[in-house]
Amino acid sequence: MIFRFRDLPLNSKLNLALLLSSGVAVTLLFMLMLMNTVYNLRQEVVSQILILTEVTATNSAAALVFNDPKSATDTLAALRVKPEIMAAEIYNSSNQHFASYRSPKVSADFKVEEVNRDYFWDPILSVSHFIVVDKELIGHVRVLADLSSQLAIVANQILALGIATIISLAVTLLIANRFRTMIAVPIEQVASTAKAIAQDQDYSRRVPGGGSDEVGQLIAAFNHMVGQIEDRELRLKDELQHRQLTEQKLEKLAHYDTLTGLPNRHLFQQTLTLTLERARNLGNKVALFFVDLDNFKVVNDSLGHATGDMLLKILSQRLAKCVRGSDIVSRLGGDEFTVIIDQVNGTEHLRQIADKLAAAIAQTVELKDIELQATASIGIALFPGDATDAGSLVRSADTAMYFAKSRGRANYQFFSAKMNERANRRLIIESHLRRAIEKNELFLMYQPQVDLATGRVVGAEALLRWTSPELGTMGPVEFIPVAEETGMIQQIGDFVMESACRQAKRWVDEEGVSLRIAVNVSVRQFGAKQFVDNVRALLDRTGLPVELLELELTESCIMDNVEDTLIKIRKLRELGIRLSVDDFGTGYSSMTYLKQLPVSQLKVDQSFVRGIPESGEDMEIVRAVLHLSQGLKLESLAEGVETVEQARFLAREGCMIAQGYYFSRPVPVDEITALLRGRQRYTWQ
Amino acid sequence: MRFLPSIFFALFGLLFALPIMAMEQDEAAVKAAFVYNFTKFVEWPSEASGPLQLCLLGNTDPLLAALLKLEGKQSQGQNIQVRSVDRDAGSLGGCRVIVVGTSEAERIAAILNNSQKQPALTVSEIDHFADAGGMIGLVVNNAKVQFEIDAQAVQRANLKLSAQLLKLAQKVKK
Repeated sequence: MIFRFRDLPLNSKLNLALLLSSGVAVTLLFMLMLMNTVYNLRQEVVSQILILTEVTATNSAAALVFNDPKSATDTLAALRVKPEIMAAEIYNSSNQHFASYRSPKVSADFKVEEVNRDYFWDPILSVSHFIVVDKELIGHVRVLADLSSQLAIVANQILALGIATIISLAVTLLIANRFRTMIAVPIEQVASTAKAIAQDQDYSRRVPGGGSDEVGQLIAAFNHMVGQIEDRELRLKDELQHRQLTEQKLEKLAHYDTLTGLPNRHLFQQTLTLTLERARNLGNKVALFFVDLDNFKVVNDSLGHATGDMLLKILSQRLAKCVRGSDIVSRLGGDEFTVIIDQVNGTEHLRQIADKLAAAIAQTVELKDIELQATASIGIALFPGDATDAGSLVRSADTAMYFAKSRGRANYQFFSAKMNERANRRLIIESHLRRAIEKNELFLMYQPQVDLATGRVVGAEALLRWTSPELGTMGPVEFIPVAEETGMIQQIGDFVMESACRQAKRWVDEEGVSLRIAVNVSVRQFGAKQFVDNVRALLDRTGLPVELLELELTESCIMDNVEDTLIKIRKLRELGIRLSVDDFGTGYSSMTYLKQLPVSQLKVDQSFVRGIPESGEDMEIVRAVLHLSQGLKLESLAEGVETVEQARFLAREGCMIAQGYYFSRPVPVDEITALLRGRQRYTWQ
Repeated sequence: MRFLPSIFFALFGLLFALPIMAMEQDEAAVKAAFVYNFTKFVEWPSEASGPLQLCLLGNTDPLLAALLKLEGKQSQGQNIQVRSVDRDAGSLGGCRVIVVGTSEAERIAAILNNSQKQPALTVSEIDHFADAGGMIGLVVNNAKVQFEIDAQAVQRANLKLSAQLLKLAQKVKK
C-alpha cells in the first residue's frame, strides 16, 4: 500500500504531525536520559569497585610479601561492604593463587578464571590491580562484581520513562484534539460546504461559526464570497431574462429603420450582397440608386427635427411606391436612401426610374402649417459594369451622387470611371494642400476694382493662388472645395485675411493709398463661433483701418444659418467692417432677409455680366440687381467685366464699381503696387 | 581494564621470586628474606642517609650467613651493605638494621643499650627478643616463620613501621 500523506484528511495530518514531532522529541529525550543513567550508574559503581580494588591491592601487599595468605584473606573479606562484588582473588608474581574471597551469594566453587569478559551491557564487571611493594611487582588482585542489580534499576527507569513517554504522548494527543476541533473542524466544514455547493449549486449555504483568527477570517471570507456569488447568480438570472426580451426586441429592430419602416443599412447590405450573388449566377444586371435629399440640413435646422422626420417619412413612402415589388428601397440613415433595381433592362429604363424618383420627391409635401418642396441628388451605379461587389457598387453610386451634388443638385448622374479619377485627384490635392500651407506655396493675387464714375482704382479683391511644385498652378475652384471638406479652409482663410490686411496696411503706410481690400469668406470659415472675434483681433494686430476691409459672403453662406448669420453680420457692421454679398443672383436669396441684412454691397455675378450684350435675359437680371441695390441703398459691383461694351452698359445702368479682365487680370502684389503708384485711370468711352 | 598478558607476570615473577620463596628452603634463608622484606616497610628518620647498612652482630650462624647474600641488593632505592660488627671494638655508627646473632643472647641488654644511639631497626631470632627490648623478633611456629614487634622500641628509635607489618606480626607489644 502506498501511503500518501497529502491524501490524508487535514485532521489526520495534524494528528500525525503532532504525534510524530512530539514522539520523536520525547523518544530522543528518553534515549538520552537512558544512556546518561546507564553510563552514570555504571561509572559510579565501577569507580567504587576500582577504589576498593586498589585499596585491597595496597593492603594485601605485606601479606603477600611475608607469605601470609590468612592475612590476605582477611583483607579481601573487607570487600563484603560492597554487595555487588561476587569474588576476589590475589595472585603472587608467579601468577599463582594466593588468597580469595567469595560473596555469600555465589557458590563456593565459583571459578573466577572462567569469567573473562567485559562489555557495556555485561552485568559482570572484572577489575584487576597490581600489587607493588618498593617498586617491585609482587602480584595482582582481581575483583569480579555483578552489576545486575544496577541494571535492574536501569530497567526500572526504562520502564518508568517509557510509561512517561506514552502518557505524555497521550496527553499531547488529547490537547491536540482540542486544538484540532478549533482548527481542522472549521476548515473541514468550509471544505464540505464548498463541496456541497459545487454539487447542488445551492449558494444559500453558509459555513457556521468562525472566530477572529485566520480560520475565522477564512470562514468569513468564504461566506462573503459565496454571498457574492449568490448575489451575482440572482442578478445574472435577472439579466438573462432581461437580455432575452431585449434580444427579441432588437431582432425586430435590427433590420428595419424605426422612423420609416424601410430596411436599414444592415438589411440593405445583406440584401444587396444576395442580389449581386444571384445576378452573378444568372448573368443579370443590377442597378443601385443612391438618393440624397438636397439641403435637408436646412429643413432640420430651421424647422426642427420633428418636421424633418415627417418629411423623411412621407418621402420614403413615396419612394417605396415608385418601384416594383422586387426592387428594394432602404434608408441608410439621415437623408440617404438607396434603391436596388434587380434585372435592369437598359439605361433608358433606369432614366425612367430616376425621373420617377425625382418627381416623387419634388412633389410638394404638405405638413400641418407648412408646405415643403424637396429635391434630391441621385447617383446610379451598375453591376457588373461599375463594380464587382456590393461594397464597390455602393461606393460607385455614392460617388455618382456626389457628382450630381456638385453639378448643382436636383439631378441624377450615372457613375463613370472619370468620377473616380476626380475623387483620386481630390485625394492628391488634399495631401499636397496640407503641405502647401507649411511650405508657403499659397499666395495672393489682387484684382483691381474700378470706380465706374471716375475710372480710378478704389479697391482690390484678394484672390488665393497656389503654385504646387508637384501639381502645377492650381485654381481655387479646384482646391477650395477640398479645403472646405477637410476643414483646412479655416487655416487657409486666416492666411488669406491676414495677408490681405497686412498688404492693405502697407499700401496705406508706404504708398499713401487707402485701398479697400475685399476678402472672400467661406461658409465654414464664417460658421466658426469665434469668427467675429478673429476678425477683430486681426484688425487690431495689423492696424488696418476698419473701413478698408470688405468681407465677401456668398448667398449660400448667408442662407445657411440665417439667425446666426444675422447676429454675426450685425456685429461685424458694428465694428465698421464692410460686407458684400458675392455672386448675387445665383442662389435664391430671400428678399426679406436681404432687407434685414446690414450689408453694404451687392456683387453681380459674372455669369450674368458675361451675357452682356448677347443675352437680353442676363441684361435684365443685371439691371434688376442694380435697381435693387439702388433701392436698398447698397453699393453695386459687377465682376467679370471683359469688354468695353459691358463696362459701358454697367456704367449706364448705374453700377458703381466694376472688376474684370477689361481693366486688369488678378496681378501679383508688385504689379498692383506699381499700378497704384502710377495713379492709373481707366476709360471705356 | 583487561590485565597485561600472563607472560608479563611470568617474567616479573621470575625476577622477583626470591623474597617469597617457598617454605622448603631452609629456615635461615626464609628469615633472611624476612629481614630484607622488613627494610621495605620501615621508614627511617630523615637524618639517616647513605647506603642501607645491614650490621650483623655475633658469631656466624646460619641466619647471618644467609644475610651476607643480601649485599648489593636494593631496598627503597638504596644499595644494601652488609657489615659484620665486632662484638667489642666494632661501632654501630651508620647501621640502619642491626641483626643480633644467637650467640649474643646473653648480651642483649648491652647491645640494645648501645644501639639506642642509632636510628636502627633491631632484629633477632633470639627467643623473646621483642620482650627484651628488641624491635622485631623472629619466631617459628609450626615450622612457619613469624615475627613479633615491640612498637614502643620502634617508636623510641624514631622509626616507623608500616601498619601492614604490624597487622602481620604475630604479637605486637605496645
